[in-house]
Amino acid sequence: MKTKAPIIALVDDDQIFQLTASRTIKSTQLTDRILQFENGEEALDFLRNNLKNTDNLPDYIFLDINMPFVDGWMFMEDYIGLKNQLPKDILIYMVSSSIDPRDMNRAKQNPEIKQYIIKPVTREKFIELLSNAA
Amino acid sequence: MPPRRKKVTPTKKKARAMKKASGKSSPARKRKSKTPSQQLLESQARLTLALQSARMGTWELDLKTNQVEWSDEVLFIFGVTRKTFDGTFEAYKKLTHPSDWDRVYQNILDTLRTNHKYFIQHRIILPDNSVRWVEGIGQTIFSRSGKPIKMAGTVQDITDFKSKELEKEDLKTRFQLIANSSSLIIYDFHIDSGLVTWSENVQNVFGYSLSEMGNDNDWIDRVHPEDRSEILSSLDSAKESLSKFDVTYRFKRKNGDYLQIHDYGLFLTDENKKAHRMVGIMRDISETVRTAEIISQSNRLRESMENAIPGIIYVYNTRLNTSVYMSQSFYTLLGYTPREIEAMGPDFLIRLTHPDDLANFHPWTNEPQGLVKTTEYRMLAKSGEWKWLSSRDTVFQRDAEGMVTEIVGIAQDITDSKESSELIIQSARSYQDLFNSVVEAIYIHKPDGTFIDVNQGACNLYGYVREEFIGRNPGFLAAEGKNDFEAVGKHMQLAMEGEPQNFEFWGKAKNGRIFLKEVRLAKGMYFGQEIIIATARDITQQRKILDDLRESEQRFRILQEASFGGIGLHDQGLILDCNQGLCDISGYEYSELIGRNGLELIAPEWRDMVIHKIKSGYEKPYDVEGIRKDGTRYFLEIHAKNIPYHGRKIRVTEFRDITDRKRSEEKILEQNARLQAVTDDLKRKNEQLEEFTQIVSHNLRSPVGNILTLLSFFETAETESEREEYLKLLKQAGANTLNTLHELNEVLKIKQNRNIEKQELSFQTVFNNVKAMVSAQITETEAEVLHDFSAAPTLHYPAIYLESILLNLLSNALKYSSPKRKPVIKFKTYREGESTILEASDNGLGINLERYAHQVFKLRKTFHRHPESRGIGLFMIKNQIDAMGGEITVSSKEDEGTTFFINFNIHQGDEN
Repeated sequence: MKTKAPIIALVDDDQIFQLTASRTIKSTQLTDRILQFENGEEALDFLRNNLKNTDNLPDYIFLDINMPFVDGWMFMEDYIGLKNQLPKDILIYMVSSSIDPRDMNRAKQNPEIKQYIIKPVTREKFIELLSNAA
Repeated sequence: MPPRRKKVTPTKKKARAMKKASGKSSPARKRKSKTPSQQLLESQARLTLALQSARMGTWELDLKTNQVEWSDEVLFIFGVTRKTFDGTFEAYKKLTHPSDWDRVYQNILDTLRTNHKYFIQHRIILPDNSVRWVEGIGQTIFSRSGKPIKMAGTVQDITDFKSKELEKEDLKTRFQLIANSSSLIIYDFHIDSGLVTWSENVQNVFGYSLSEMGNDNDWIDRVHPEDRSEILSSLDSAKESLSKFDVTYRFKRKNGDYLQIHDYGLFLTDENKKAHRMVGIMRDISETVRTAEIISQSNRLRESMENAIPGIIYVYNTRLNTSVYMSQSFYTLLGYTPREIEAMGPDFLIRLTHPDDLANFHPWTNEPQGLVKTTEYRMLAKSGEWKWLSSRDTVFQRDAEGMVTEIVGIAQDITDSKESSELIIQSARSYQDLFNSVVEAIYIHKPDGTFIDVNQGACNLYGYVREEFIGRNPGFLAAEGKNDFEAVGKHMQLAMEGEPQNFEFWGKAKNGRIFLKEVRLAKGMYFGQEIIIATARDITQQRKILDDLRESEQRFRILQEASFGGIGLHDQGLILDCNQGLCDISGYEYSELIGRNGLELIAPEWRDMVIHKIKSGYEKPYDVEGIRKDGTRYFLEIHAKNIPYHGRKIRVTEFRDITDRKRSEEKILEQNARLQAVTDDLKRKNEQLEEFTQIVSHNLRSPVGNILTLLSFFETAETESEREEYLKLLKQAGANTLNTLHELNEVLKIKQNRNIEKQELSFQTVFNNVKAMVSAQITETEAEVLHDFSAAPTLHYPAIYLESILLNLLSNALKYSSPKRKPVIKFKTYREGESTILEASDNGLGINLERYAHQVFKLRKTFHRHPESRGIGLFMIKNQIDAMGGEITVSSKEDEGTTFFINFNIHQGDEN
């Protein structure tokens, strides 16, 4: 993926976060390919429908915890079942405003979650996260 | 052996003839049918050649003249010329073997009558008296009018052919060799022709030459007339079934004697699976038969002798442990049939012998001839009873080393004598056993006092052996100076007069030990004489025990007086004795308690239990309620034990007033319950606190974070329009934050305001108000809203909470109705114990509880894509219900519906 700009998926029900985050990412000029999902179920549906389309699949998922319908934890449960069918590795960052240690521990114990990030996320943090794994 | 010539069936004969004809002469016939005259001549010449090479000639019989026309080959075969053979039928008859003529003639007549092919093999006698075999084949020739005018055919000398064929058979040669060396006669019988080839040793065995032995007819003529018909019929049936021919018969030798013959033959079949040859062996068994006859005669003699002897004669193989021979009387004595014995297997003797008696049999080794071993043992008769047998065995057979392999013996039934002697032994033994098994000492005295017998108990008591007693006077058993002998004499005298006596006697054992015994005397009979039976037992120990008991009873009384509790001795509830403690506890006087039923000290409702414990001998402490003389009740612990007391089993029961203990126990239980309630409440509060942290973490930090981000965007915005956009978003974020704060405030209010005013509410009234609030949605969804509050119409509750609960449940049910069906929503209330329950059910979308169960009542959790889902309602009412000490639960099935259960006061009474 070094040749191509990475695809970012933002999974968050907070409209303002969606807006600020996508603008911040774009401003880093690392990528402008950003997918936006309002909750876990929408993101999962997208993954399921694009199992074969490597080009459509995100390289990074920024996943909120607290969402209606399918929240971040439930997304992770389903994602594990889906992971084997995905043609490429996806890095998942859990992004939440929660500073509750129970949430942080729970994320730490999940090997699929690369890192737990507390909102708000600065431009520098995005640069670090995106260049880190790229 | 070779059979009487059987008529060959016409079809079979025909088939055979056809085969022969086609095999030998068919090429010629084919040519004949072709006809051009030159070809005819050629073919006739060729036929002649062929016939010559096969030593075969042609013949014709004119039926009008009975004149026979033979070709040169035929003349040669018959050893005649045209000069010596005049061609008459008579001349032909003369040349045919006289034994075969009838058969030949009959065959010709049959051929004419049946119009079948003619086929025969018969012997002819040549002018030099030699015998040869010929085979004739032919058929009838008819005139145009269909009248038989001629018979014509071929004839062939088959003598050489046959013998050559047979000679080639290696097998036959070998048989011949065997036969010659063993006096077995081997024969090969050609069934259709009657030709029999005999092994060369017939002369030695039967005295006939090979030619004299002749054919099958000669053979049957020599079978003893008495055996003939039977042999013929077994031959026929063997031939039909192609089974082996296995018979014995008498066969006449040339000198007129009869030999006993064993004849064993096998059939060979042709391609039609019909017997056409028979090969077999005849053996002279005269000697064997004679021996067998002698044996059977001697057997008969032996059997009749054996049957005359009152015992079983047998031969037994000691190596294999099997019976070699057993006389008939074995079966008569034990009642089995030979077949039943056979079914038991070869070791039937061991099986039938009594297991205890098997050891009585001594193994045989190399005992000298004539040694007799006697064994007594039991065998099981068919009737089920044991028969006593006495066996006398002696050596019968030995192996090369002189070791005994078989024994011969006679067994006699001694059951009767054995049983009576056994009976005597047993009764004597059982008497002795009984005598000795009595622990008490028993002495049998003559009237003058001397001992006749004593038992083991007596020996044990004094330490002397039985022999030391017998014939002596009891004086030596007395402890010096302790007994009044005059009195003892008096007792003896009275006993002899028939009055049983009972007294104490100081005895002295052999080792010097002095003891007190109790003696009983009685008169009796012993083997026909009058005697005195004395029984005695050492009562020293008993005395001591009595003393000990007395002492321990005293101790017990002291003990029970000193005890704090009440102690009572009772027999099946009836108080025999008690201590002061029981008087103090129960309020009765000692005298009032003795003889009183102890159950009266127990409160009536506990008495059944106490009776049960007494009856079952329960020995652990248990609690009941006691009742005092004045009727007041108190808590009582009962602890009883069964003890033997003056020869009875009684119960010692301790009564303990445990009122104080009981009170504190109750207090502890009460406090425990309270503690549990506090703990539960704390747990709930803790959970609520955690939840609150969660809310603050997720719902409050998030908008604040957004505001911060937007502010930094605002600050770095380059254009005015950008700034305006961010400002708009900032306002929105601010409003969201405020909204969340407001919601949280509501929740906090609920949580803090536990003591909100409650009032008696009618479900019906509140529900009507709520329904009015959502009337628009009800109309829109065309929902059917049902309710039944009759079972629990009212509730003491904060009005705004109940309204909030009903409103949220109803609006949720309307909001999440299924588009597939008309919404039906039911509300009902009922009571369950102290609790009031509300059930609100719908037939809507339902919730996947497997997935969402943990989130149903959480803030900002929604489970459906519905624009109005905010995730507030259920969170709010849960907080309200919890705050009032209630509980809300849910059951649901996706696409079927949801039911909420609210128990308004499950925790009521807890220290909320």
